[in-house]
Amino acid sequence: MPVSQNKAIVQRYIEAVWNQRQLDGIDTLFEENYTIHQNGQALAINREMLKQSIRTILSAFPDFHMALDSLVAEGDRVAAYWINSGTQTGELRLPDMPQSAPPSARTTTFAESALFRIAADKIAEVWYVSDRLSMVQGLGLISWAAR
Amino acid sequence: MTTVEENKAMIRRFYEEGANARNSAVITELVAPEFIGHYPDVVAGFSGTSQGPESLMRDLEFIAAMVPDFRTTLEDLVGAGDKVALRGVTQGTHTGQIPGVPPTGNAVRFTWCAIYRFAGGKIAERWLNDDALSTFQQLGMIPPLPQPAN
Repeated sequence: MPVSQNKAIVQRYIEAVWNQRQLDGIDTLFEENYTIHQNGQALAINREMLKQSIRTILSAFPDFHMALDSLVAEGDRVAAYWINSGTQTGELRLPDMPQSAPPSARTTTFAESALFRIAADKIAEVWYVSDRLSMVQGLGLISWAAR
Repeated sequence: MTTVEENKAMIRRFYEEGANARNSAVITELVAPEFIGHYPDVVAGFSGTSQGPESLMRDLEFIAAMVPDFRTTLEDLVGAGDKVALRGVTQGTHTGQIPGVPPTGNAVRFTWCAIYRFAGGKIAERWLNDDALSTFQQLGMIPPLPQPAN
């Protein structure tokens, strides 16, 4: 698999699925069942769970946008770095929040990195690191004085 | 221009012989004087960028002050052109004290991703993402559960 095709798969995930809200694109870009790694934990998920989590984000941030900054591809892996931004005009519930946050009308900007493993033209495994502290701070959910 | 394999070798040396061995001479050798680091906004406290090898040494001193036995393991390196992306794990025991942050004694484990750019045979630029929310929660610096605003 040429690395250029693998990069195109990741670009479509960010540009078509997220930025153009073409959630059905997930069916061709991802394996039905795949694994994500976040905070050192592995989680088995599937296409429908991914669509649901994107809908959750978009309902909290209807203008959510990913600005792709960098792609590095080698072999079956693609590393990506992008900047998320969105205005929280809807209710937000994060997995580790005890209750949902009411609309704040605040705009938050935060960086995200991911490493995708691609097998037979489909995303099969993803490692994510998201700057969630900047996100929740931008929404006024937590206060943190820089060191 | 250095090759991808040479660039990966520089990254391995940076972490194994530099960061893990607490050897600032290796960092000075590998990192360009005009190095630029891009950080998550909150942690940086300096508009999201830092400059020079000394900024990387300051980061290592900051971690070592809280987690004196910290050790970084590289889990995957992906290289192309003038860049190497990697994911790593930094772990240790939170036994050291910095002002305002008493040691928790916790075993801590931070997962992160970075992309490095190379120029002139040196590390020239870095984009780092280290989930500071999880990091600071493990260090007891912020509450485990972010509470919605009142």
